[in-house]
Amino acid sequence: MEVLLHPVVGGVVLGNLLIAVGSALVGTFAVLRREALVGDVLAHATVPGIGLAYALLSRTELSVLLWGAVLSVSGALLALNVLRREGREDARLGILLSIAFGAGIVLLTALQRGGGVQQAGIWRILFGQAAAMTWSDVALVGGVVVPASLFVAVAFKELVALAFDAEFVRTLPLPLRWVEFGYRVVLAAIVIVGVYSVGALLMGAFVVLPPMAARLFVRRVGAMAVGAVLVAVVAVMAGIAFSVAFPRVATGPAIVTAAAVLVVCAHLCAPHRGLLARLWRELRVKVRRWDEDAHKVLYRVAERSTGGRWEDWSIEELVAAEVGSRARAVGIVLWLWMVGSIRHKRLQRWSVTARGREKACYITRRHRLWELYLERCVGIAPEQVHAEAELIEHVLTPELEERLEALLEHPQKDPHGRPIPPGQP
Amino acid sequence: MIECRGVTVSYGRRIALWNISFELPSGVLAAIVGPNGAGKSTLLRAIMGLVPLQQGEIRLWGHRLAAVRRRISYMPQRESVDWDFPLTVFDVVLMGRYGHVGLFRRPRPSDEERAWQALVQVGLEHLARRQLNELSGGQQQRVFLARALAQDAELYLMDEPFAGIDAATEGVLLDVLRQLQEEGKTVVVVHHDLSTVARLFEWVLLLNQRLVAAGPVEEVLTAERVREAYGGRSVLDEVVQRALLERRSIVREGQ
Ligand SMILES: Nc1ncnc2c1ncn2[C@@H]1O[C@H](COP(=O)(O)OP(=O)(O)OP(=O)(O)O)[C@@H](O)[C@H]1O
Ligand SMILES: [Mg+2]
Repeated sequence: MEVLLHPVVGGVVLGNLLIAVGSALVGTFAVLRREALVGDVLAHATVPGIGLAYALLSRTELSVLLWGAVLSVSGALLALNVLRREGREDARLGILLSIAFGAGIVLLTALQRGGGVQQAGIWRILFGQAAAMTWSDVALVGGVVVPASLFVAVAFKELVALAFDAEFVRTLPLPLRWVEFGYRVVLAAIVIVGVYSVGALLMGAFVVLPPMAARLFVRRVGAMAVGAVLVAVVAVMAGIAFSVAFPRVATGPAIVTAAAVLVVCAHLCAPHRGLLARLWRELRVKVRRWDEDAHKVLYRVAERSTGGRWEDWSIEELVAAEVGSRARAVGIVLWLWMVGSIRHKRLQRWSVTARGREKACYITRRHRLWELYLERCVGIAPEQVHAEAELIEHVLTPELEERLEALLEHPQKDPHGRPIPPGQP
Repeated sequence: MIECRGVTVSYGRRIALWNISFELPSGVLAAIVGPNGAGKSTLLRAIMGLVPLQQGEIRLWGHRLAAVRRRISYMPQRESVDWDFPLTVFDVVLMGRYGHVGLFRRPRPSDEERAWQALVQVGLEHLARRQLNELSGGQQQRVFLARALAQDAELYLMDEPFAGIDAATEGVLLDVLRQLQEEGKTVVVVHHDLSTVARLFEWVLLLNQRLVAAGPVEEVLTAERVREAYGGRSVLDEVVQRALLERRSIVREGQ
């Protein structure tokens, strides 16, 4: 709080926070509508207007120059509306963006050659002047962000419905054309004041990055908007802190980079949808399969190689039980020892623990029950049932196992004539 | 009650509907039938004012659309929206009430009550709090159906509600249609399956850019008319092909 009262820093922090809040709220709908590129087009379209305003008025304050941006962004909105049925959307937006930005840069560089704008002038338009916001700038930003946020709050239900199913909503007896128009105006206004903070080049990205991060964590649009505001605020604080610590780093780009880092983190860490969560789920399934297959080997060893003996094995006996290679046998032994299913006597002789034996019986039992079911009830040939059972045994639930057993009338032998181990007492 | 006179619609240079004229009586259960790209969806969208008419006029109960929007309910094709959206099933059904709620207002308890009833009617009340991206195709179709029902309209326009649903959902849909009919509502359904049109509907519009025929099923659904609409392929071909496809999928499942 104290920092907000600081005569200079306070203005910088408050101004950037206001922009963060406004752009996160509006950006939520840009993301939901899959219109990320529209914000980018509008942001780039501020440049020619700013150049024009400078050429005509010869003033350098952004608060004056941004009125030029209002003009050129309105032009871009109009063009988007007129051309909305022409060609493919991505091509249309890309071309519009290039034209607007190209014209702007041509204008600004021409002025600069003429001795008007300093190098720093172009720089602060493209990358913002986040660290140089005055209190009067903050007042202007607030004058845009507060009404914009109010609009989003009031028209929330309509904006959500339009984003989800515009075609349906347009058939309702409501004047939604105006809500749609209001949304465009608000998006444009936020993007224009965003030039203060992160600049024309990066504002398009800053509008959509925080909502994209929030999207991965939420189940409702309201929560997404709140989450986006939080992410944007964190990005602003991190960006400012970073550029205070490293004064050569421009604040605006630092803010956007922080937002991008947060998006990447969100993609990694989000529950359910995140990359790590997905990898973890896959890994758990793999480990479980490996563990159960290893225990099945135990059962086979006891059944075939050693003739019903559960103690005092050698690795050779394991290999003999269709394990395949010696390396795999060693791997299985190592795993089983790690999970406490076998113990060893000087690494030579191995014995199955009570727990290992229980698990071995359990998985083998499910395998053989399923084989029997496939043969008897589905009519699959006995030679083929093994491969099918290899897959299903890992996902059979105890309830299903019980019902299988009842259905098969408590069988003793599987289709290959081998005994089915009894269930837990 | 739906009265189309010389309706022509085009997308850019491509004509989707050419000079369509018909009059649909009130209280019937009607099907719009035609091959892919015949303009069936376009006709519904034209009635709902979603595409501009190049020519012609559409009147509903003798009025222009703007005056009677409240009395119409529209159910778009399921594929027309992105179902990976952070909303719950109930949120979507409640959208059917937005026309009654009004702009910028919160839905009243009575609206929520009505949305809930619609959800019960399609048998989805147990999924009310479910995320949209966790629904099957048939469940999505039911959500749209519930949203349309929640609108409490007199005319229902449904785009392919029978597409891609299982027997249970089809049962729900047929019940809903029957009930709407009993309540004296008018229902227009875009339908694809020629073999069931005669059984399910009393009125048919045969469409293929132009109107091939419109009227009671038994008058309209003659072999040559259908052949005309489907450009040479007879009903028999269609039905036989469908039967073959079904057989093939049964065989595949059995393996
Ligand atoms: N938004 C659009 N832009 C351009 N052409 C379109 C558009 N929508 C439809 N069309 C064209 O208009 C014609 C009619 O389309 P429509 O969707 O009404 O057909 P349909 O009878 O509903 O087909 P389907 O059975 O595949 O749903 C088609 O040739 C289609 O390519
Ligand atoms: Mg269609």
